Amino acid sequence: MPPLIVLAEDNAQLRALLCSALEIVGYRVVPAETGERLVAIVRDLIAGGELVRLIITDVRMPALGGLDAARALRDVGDTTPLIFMTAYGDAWTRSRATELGALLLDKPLSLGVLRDAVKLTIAA
Amino acid sequence: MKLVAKYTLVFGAILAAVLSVLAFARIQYTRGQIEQDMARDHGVVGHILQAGVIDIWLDHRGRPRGREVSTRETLALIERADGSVGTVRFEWVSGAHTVESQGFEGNEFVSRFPVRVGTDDVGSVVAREPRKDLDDAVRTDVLFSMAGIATIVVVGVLASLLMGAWLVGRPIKRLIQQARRIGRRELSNEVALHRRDELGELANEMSAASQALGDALAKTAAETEARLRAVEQLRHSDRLSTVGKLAAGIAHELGTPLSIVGGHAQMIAGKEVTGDAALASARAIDQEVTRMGKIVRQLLDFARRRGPEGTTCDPSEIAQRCASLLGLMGERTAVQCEVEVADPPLRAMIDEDSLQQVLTNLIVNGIQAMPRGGRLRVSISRALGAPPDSTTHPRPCVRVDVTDTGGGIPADVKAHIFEPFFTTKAPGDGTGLGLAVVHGIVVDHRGWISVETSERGTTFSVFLEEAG
Repeated sequence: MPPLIVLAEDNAQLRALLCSALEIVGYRVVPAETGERLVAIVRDLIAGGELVRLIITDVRMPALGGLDAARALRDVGDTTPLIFMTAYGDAWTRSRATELGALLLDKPLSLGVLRDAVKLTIAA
Repeated sequence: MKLVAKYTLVFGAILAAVLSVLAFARIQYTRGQIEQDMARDHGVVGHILQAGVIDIWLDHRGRPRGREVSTRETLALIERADGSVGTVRFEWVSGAHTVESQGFEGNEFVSRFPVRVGTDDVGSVVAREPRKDLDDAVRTDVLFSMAGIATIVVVGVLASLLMGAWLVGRPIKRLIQQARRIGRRELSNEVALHRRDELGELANEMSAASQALGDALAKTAAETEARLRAVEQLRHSDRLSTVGKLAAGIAHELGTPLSIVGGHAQMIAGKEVTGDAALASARAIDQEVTRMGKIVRQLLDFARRRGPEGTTCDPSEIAQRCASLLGLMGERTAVQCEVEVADPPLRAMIDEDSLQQVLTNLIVNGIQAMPRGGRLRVSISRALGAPPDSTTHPRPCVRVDVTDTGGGIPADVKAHIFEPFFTTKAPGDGTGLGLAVVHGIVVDHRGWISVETSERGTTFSVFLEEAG
């Protein structure tokens, strides 16, 4: 069974690209369009007995952003590893990501870097 | 010195009036005295002559003497007495009894002393003094009194003038000089007068007020400087945060499309996608590049390309052009566009391109605020207005209102609408630069923009300088 990843990104083009880029190298990816959808999907998958190995999420999304969504999941006891993607990784965002024990990747994103980060996180 | 002159004039007039009343009373009294003296003198002389004449008319045994000799001697006696108390005459009896009397008869003071020998009236000793003598005496008194009064008044007035100048004029001059120094902001605690009267008190108060004013001015100056520094700092940090926001916005807006472009390119290069999939990737790259180009163009707009200085245009004409172009866009969502032009026409201090950009952005926003249809109205008018948060007086300007009948702007959103990259639209629909560009252009043309919003709709009002 390939490792399961949930990926949240509000831009449809980028979401589709990242999903296919990860699927090509052998992961199962469930896309989420918003922060709210991300929280709902992860909880549904876990409730359905699935093992979510990694959550990748954009930081800046309308309404519920990636940081707040991750905090909401942590608050209900979820400990799934996290990778954040952001176009504007200021000090505040970085410290919030570190608090959650997550990796922060800067946009523009290199597919190679993303794949390496995913591989390392899942192996760890 | 006018004060002293006025005071002296009043003082002199009162002095002259009081002295005149006193002199008048005294002259009246003197006149009475003179009259009494005259009557007494007449009485003394008259009674002696009366007795003398009776003696002449009787011999030592009390019998009448001869008429002829008596008459001669009487006239001789009277003649000797003439001139002692005015004119003295003897008037022979001419009928009725004569009684002793004194009083004025015409212009003379007349005293009559009848002479009776036995039972026969012989005549009367009559003394006459012209009233003129009395009047002369009184007139002399009046003249002396007037000279005295005049002297006293002149001396009093001169003394008052000198003392006034010394006691009031000079200190007041110094106080005026001090007041002028205060007026020129030469503030010190120096006391202009050292006296223990009201003027000295005033001088002390003035110097205290001057010092207090100086302190207050210094404090105000310090506060103003501090405030200016704070405002400057605030402006600086505001500019920094605007630059920061702009950087964050650019990073976010370009980060995502660059990720897409890079990702697709990497997949094509790594032959992870081939055939139709590679074609789709190339199309996605093209689409994102177009999007990034658009963002860059709008960033250039945000950097404000200004029209030539002093260019003017007719806002009514531009509004009609924009409305007719964008009206087609509105028709899809059943939005009706209308323009109310200014009558007579107005000209605004802005170039056509800039105003067209402003109106295009506002009209598109208005149309997008009414997805279920409505009415969009652009009206141009002349108005009196002053920029918000300014203390300048309202001035005539050109007002362009863009009103929609949409749902309005929530208060928390309204506070940010002019910030770059702030958008409430779905990703891809707007860049969040539109209103920031509008704001920049309007402010660049020395105008300002205000927003009125409620759940019944929103009006953006652009105020621009009127040309001419």
